[in-house]
Amino acid sequence: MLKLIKLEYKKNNIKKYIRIAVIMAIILCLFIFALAFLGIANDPDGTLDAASGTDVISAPIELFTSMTFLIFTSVMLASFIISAYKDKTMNLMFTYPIKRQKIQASQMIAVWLFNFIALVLTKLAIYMCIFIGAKFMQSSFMVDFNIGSLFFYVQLLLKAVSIVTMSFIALFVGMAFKSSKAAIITSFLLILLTQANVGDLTMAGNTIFPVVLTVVSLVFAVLSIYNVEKKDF
Amino acid sequence: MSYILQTDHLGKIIDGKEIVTDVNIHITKGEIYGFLGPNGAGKTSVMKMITNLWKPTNGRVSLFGKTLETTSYEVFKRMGSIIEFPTFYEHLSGKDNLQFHCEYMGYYNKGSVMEALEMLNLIDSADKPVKNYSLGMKQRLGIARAILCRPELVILDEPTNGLDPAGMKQIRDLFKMLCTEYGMTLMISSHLLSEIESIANTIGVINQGKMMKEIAIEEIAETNTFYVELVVEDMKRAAFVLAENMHLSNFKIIGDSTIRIYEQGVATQKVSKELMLNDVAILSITQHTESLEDYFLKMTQGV
Repeated sequence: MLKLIKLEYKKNNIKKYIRIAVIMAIILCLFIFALAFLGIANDPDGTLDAASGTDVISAPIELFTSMTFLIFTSVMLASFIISAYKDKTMNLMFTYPIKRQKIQASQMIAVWLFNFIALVLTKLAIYMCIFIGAKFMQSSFMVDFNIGSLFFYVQLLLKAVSIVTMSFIALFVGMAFKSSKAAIITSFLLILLTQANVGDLTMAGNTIFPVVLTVVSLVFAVLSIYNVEKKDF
Repeated sequence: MSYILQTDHLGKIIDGKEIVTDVNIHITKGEIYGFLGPNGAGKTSVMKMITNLWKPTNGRVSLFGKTLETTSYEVFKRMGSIIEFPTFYEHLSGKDNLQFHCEYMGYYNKGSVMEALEMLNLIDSADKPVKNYSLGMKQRLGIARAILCRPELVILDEPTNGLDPAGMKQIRDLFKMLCTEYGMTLMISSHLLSEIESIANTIGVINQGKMMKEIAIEEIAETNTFYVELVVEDMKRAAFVLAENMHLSNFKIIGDSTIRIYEQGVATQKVSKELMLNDVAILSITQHTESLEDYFLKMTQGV
């Protein structure tokens, strides 16, 4: 399995994705830094223009990193898997002496792993920037995290797991429609579902909802590879 | 007799439509099997079932003496194939594509990639990305990949598509060489008989999803109709001479002046001499052999 994952990275030119992920991380970092210390989210009178409950710095950090990486994961799943079906390189893969489920699972794990690590590192980098920045400057948002506590790290990891796993729903939809676009649009809808708010109603702060959604995503992940052995290609 | 590849009443129905019906193929080890049929006859469908990309609705496929199951994988270590058209990772070079193939096949033999590239004249383009290859080059790279891991059985779907005549000749020679020197068994599909007749040992003809005939090349030559066509002025007299003087019985009168003699081993000189001796004026005398092409056309159009 490990070998298959490595081959996926090599085949799909993972360096390109690393470059994009690093650039995204830097942009996010600068943006959040500007939100916190340069007052770009402030009203002209200097007060923060944020809804109640989102005036803490973790709110924009979670929102923007989740958004970025949920879409990015879906884009990668689309180009690793859906495109492979479309350009028939998947048919080639299926003539190898390897179980089809294993082939597709390796592709999904390859993308999942990459984005999980990238998301965790990006978040850590941003939190560190804010943490260091807050020592010298006044943040517009309330600094509501403690990088010394274990809970902070556990939460960060779990949230990353949830976001990256959710992209399997997008993959399932993309595969059903045989369309990369469908996968990416689904990832946008998932963001609306998980991060947006309608008036005061939002699922962003809910703790049970992401757990349910992660479980649902895993079901979708299993469904995407369940039938692959018996299908005609 | 044991076959390296055998299909037994193979059938495939898609959306209620019969794509392949009752196809029986028998391929012995070390032979080149020409799988012949017009476009849309079901060649690719059969080959997809042989390589397990499609699961048969009816019948079964046996490879190396074992029935192919939905979950058969190990058997593909012993096979190489091109199905439909060769697909590649277009952004990678030809060489990288072959190297990936080795990795997935679990075949580690140093130098085999370069050797395969050399066999198919692709050394100069080895490091170019496949997206810059011409159709013919892709086809050759596909063949290189199919034979790369020294498979025992090679399934090639229209492998000479997009090749120029010189290229075709070269590929045909390569196939023969693979068969004689490496002991590979090849199944090659084509809609052009001329591509296959010079190299195949056995030919299977498929049309409209049905197997029309499976026959050894030598047998075709034997069963092929050979005839001498005579055009004479006095037909009655000519027929009389043939029957009485030459004791021929297997001939047919066509129209007012043409006679076809189907008797095996009849020499044209002998016929003309005998007729002249009997004062029958001969307008023309020609010898005909029904070519494999005619045979193939008869096979596929006579349905």
